[in-house]
Amino acid sequence: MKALLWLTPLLLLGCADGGRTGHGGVDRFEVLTNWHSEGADGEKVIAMDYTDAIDSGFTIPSAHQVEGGRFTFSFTVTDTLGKGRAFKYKLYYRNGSYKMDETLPDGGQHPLAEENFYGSWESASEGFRTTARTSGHDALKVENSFRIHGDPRDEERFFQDGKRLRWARNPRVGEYSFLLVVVPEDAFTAARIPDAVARINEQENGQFIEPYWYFLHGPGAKLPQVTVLEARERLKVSARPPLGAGIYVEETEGISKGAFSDRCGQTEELRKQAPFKQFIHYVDPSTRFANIPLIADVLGNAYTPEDHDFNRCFFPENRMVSLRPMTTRMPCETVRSNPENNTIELRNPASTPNDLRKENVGVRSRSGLMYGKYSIKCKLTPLLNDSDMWVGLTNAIWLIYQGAPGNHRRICAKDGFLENYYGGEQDKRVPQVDYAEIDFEILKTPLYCPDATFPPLRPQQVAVPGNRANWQRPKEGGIPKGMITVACTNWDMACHSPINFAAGCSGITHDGQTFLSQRWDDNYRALTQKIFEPDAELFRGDHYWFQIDWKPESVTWRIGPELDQLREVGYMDSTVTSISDVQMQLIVTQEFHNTKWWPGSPYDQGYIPFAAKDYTGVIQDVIIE
Amino acid sequence: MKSFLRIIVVLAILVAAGLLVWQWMTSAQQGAVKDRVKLLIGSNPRNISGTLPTAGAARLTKEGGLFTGDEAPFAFAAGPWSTVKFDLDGSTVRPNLRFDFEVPVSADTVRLSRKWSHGGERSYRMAPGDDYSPAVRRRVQDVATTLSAVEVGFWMWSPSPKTLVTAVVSIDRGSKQLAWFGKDLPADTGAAQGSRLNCSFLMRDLALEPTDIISVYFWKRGGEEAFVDDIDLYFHSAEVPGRAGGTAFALDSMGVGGLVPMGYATVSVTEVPVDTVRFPAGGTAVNTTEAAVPIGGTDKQWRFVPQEGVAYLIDADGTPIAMLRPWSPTSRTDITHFERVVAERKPHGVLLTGFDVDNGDGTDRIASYPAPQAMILELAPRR
Repeated sequence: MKALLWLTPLLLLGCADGGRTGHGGVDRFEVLTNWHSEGADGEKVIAMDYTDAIDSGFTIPSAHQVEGGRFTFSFTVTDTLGKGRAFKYKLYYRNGSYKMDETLPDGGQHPLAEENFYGSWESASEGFRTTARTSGHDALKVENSFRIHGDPRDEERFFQDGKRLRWARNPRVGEYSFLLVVVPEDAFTAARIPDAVARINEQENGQFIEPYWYFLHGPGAKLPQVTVLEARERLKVSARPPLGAGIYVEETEGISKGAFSDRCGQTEELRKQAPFKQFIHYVDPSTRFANIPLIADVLGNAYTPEDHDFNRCFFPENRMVSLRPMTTRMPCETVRSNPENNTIELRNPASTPNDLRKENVGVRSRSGLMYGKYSIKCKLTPLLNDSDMWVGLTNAIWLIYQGAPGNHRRICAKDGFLENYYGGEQDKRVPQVDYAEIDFEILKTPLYCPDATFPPLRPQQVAVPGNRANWQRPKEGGIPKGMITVACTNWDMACHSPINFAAGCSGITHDGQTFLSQRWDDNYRALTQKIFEPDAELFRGDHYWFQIDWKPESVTWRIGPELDQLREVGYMDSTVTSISDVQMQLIVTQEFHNTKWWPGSPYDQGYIPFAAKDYTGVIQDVIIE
Repeated sequence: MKSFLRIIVVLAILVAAGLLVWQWMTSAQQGAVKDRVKLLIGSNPRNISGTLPTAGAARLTKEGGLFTGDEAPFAFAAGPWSTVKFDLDGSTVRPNLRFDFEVPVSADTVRLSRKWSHGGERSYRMAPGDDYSPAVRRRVQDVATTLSAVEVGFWMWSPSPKTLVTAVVSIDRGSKQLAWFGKDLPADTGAAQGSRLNCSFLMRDLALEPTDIISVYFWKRGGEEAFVDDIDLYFHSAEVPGRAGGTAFALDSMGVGGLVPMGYATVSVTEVPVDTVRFPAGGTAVNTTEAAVPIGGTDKQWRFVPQEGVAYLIDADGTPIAMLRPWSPTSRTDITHFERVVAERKPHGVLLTGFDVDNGDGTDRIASYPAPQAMILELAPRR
């Protein structure tokens, strides 16, 4: 009988259901035994708690969600030899929604697998824990706890000035699985589990060993007497920043505090808990433009394309005002967090005769995350009036690199990245940069593709009155009336590594839909796709959804009236562009661009009047999953 | 013999290296190299068959187009945009041409065809043996004040998928070619409406002289016929020709005693019926009132000089103190956009009548479309 027991495979791989019959004497592996919140599909779900996320990073669960701030798990173990041995065990967790393949075709660990988000005990340097001794053939129930937290490998790159910055590598959203590894104590040494697997802070040959690869596909899958069980339970983690929890304002020299309140400003409570801060645009000197000194209610139809064409032709240059897009003079004056309906309001202020302003307004999330499906429900300002005149705003929903310590983009093997966002064509190329940006930008501008029909042609105006043809530009061949352009952009800093990297227009097909990507030249830092969409549908209703689905190997842009009615409007993958792999933050803005940035635009920002009324947008919900 | 072999080996290595470099090049880079080679060996697509119209050769037609003075099929340009001109220092700038090949009866139709057209009835047929079209040739000073870009757009169809038509812009100074631009349009035989190509060739840092010659033409390859229609040819100046010069002042330089941009006076505009007795459609079009007109009920005046583009509020001293925007919220129009604006004092405000002008019979007449419009402008308290 003993021999039979010996023959029983002690090694079991893959997805053994927790709680079922034993494998190598290990039984009833259950995780999240103290967490009972389930989604519609029966899977356990939890939302990230923003309460202490700024200082400590996200912890899952937080102490506010579960007493003690730990998930519990349990299993039973039986010494099949009846020797009453103790056992070594270790629990690993891993985010499966946003992971790299862990295995190469030859069975080795994929070099990018070490980027996967996995963890174990609170301290990464702690190896296997030991159970009490078993008693004969009796099952021993083992209970313990863990939590998912940032920087689970306790890496040096996230340790600065004596502090561990767990927020610099926050847990990812998405689905987590749980892996239990159990070894009889007296067999542990013989198993020769590498230190870099037992203690996940350690590396082997300069690389972390991804434990799921090691135990499910690598050498650990063949170790005698090592039991590997994957729990049936999964945990779906999402983030839903509480928009009504206030807006923080970063300290800046000379900042006006005149509009601060307990909902917006610099109180300690806001510093610790506000999920968003006011975004103060960096305004590059190149964005300066001359503007007609007219204040008009463009959205109220007090300005037409004809007015624009006329003024562009006839308005005296020396009567124009020269200005740059402005930022707020008093933080908190133009953004508002509303706790009653849990929204954030953005307000581009109206101008007055003595205060001509085209002011950019926005908010930026404060916690960075790597990857995720960002769904933003909002009602931003309509961009067109009844005569199809553009108000001059660009509504933007974008992700931008957080600049967190230790966050550098993966090395660009072919030629490197261009070093600076504003660096121009002669910019130095470097192996790694921190900068990353993924955008929705919505404005009135033409498609750049196919390039045979770009740019739209417009006759040269002449400033000679007496003939309407001298100044009124024909409308044919332009952007269809009522349509605005949704531009989807990934800033890859011109890394040439993607196998299909290309300048000009090129198509990429996804789910049967072909998207035309455009890049001006080999040194252009961004790849853009554009599509016409009806302004009224996106911005005249109660709300609209915008989604950026950022995965390790792709980015998909979707929009739609409801979350379950989204349609793809952009798609790129790592064959055409370098996908960001640094923590990013969400920004929502209503901004005035210099139309020189958008060649072929039918309207020149300088001939669009200053706003007679505020342009107000509302962010109604943000879900990251 | 050894040295000959060495030369052969070196040449072979050079060729192999060149092929490798060629493979690594983008198509744009390859195109640039091809063009340089063509220029070097003198076989660049350079057509000089077009005539250079003499100054004043262009003349308007009754149909609203323009006889350009160019060789057929470019002898007639259609539509109001083709008639746009700007007189500068004794010469005339004509920046826009549109060729739809729907030519007047008197025009040469020998290169035109009814076999295919994008719009209308005719198109320009490039016969199988025509590698080049005639060129539209101009001196820089005849098309722009400061040339910043040349835009070319056209529709093309060919029965052969091998056909490739290139829009070419060449700039020459004497016998020296300063620049050559080209963009290709391959034929799509299945596209019944034809294929469209838009090109914008930026002059960037080219230091052009007013007498440099721009030639625009089509270069066809493939040996089959091709049809070209609805050509737009726009020569862009760096600034709208004729706009008043001046130095804009910076808003951020404003301060106590500093420059202040002139704002708009707050006005009230009410639309009123047009006096059709004095301003009947088809009637003789009087000129715009350019003299200052008192605004009834105030000591201020209205002044609109079309060349200034904007109306001004003039104080009793004759000094402009604000701009006026006679914009009607009812019809969403600004009356100064009409080709003529007649102003008259009223007890409260000023009556403005605007209309466009037709000149089909050589006489300026009030156009029926857009319909004439009238409005009373009154000053309103400033907000």
